[in-house]
Amino acid sequence: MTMTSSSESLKLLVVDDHEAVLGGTVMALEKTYPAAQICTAGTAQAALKELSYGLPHLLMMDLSIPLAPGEPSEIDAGIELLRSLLADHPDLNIVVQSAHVRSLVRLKPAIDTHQAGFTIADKNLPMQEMLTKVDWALKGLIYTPRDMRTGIEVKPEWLEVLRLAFKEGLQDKAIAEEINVAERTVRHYWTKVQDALEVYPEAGKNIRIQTEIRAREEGLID
Amino acid sequence: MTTDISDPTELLRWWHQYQAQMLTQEADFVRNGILQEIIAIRRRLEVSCPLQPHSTTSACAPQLADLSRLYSLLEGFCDRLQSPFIADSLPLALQHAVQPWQAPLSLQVQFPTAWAPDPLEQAQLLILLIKALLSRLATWPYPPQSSALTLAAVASCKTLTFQAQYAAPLDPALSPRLEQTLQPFLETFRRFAPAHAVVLFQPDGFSLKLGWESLSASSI
Repeated sequence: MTMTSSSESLKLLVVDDHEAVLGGTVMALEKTYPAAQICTAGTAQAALKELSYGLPHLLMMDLSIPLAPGEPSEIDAGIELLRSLLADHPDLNIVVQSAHVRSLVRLKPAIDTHQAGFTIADKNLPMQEMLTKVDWALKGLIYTPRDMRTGIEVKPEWLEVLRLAFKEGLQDKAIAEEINVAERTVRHYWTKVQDALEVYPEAGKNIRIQTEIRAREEGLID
Repeated sequence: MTTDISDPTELLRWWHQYQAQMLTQEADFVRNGILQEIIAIRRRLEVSCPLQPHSTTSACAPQLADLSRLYSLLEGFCDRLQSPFIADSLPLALQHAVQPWQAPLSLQVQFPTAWAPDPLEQAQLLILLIKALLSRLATWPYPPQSSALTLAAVASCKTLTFQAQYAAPLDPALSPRLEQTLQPFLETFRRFAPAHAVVLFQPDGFSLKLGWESLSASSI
């Protein structure tokens, strides 16, 4: 599920058991998305219950959460919740806001195949940067920290998109027909390769051209 | 899984794993408690502080900067208690561990994307070995011209290789001290896994190659 970051009829779900942090995050989101409906959950169980009422446009979660009320916060509970979300809701935009983001390396294969926006925000980020990660996820973009990779990890199908775009000059629709996937999948491959090349939206810059520059610098295209 | 307390190697392994669990608990205590409180204070300041007149900068910018510094110090402390990624990925753990020395030692790293997990005590030992090695090299009279750290695996055989090349011949007195630093790590590692190590000193360089049979975490 990807969408532009319009605040009209936007539904956000924030999962965090630390009341003060949750309160601050919700206040920041309310300021940025004043018309949004913001729901909260303090446990993995409560989060799944909220999701059973209908998927939000974006789910923002901490990793260290209790499984159920009265239980202690544990990384494993957050990791398992996220694992099930990635498996059951491939179209759900997700932001992981946590002090334990490095634990996400355990879910790298699942994150790599997620079809919607997925960004990782260290909880220590300034609020504005956190809100940028929320905006990116709502737009279907992907952001994973550099230290979760040992180098540039690019799949063959993403390389093919680069080749067809920059050597053959094809647009997304033509690329989709060429490689026999949906146009939406092509756009998703773009976000994957941009994350691998650490190319993200910047004011005044064309992201596709930035992608081409970085791809050539890394020798991915001639 | 029960520990054979009559086997010194198994006891050593148990002690290593037990210490690692204790340190993880302490690191999690800081992350889940103190760091969360700092984040909460930060968020309250960011949301409630007005902007400075005719500026987009928060009036609380100095306090926010102080909080960021405090957070970084505590996060660094957590990372020293338990190396990041240690339980999940040796390549990522090594990549993180060597960061402080990459520039000073002109260190290039080459790590694979995929890597079968190692038992925690083995991974920890390797991290500590490399940290001890690089710390020692950083104290030498002059840095290497270039150095390289690589990880490789072929089937169940894994190797960790370090090489350093210097522009001028090294003081021969440095080699024994380095070997003294490395040998306890290497000998302890050999207790945990079938392993062999070759440490070579040349007039203008040094290399270490450690190879071991992969005993996956699940087989211990």
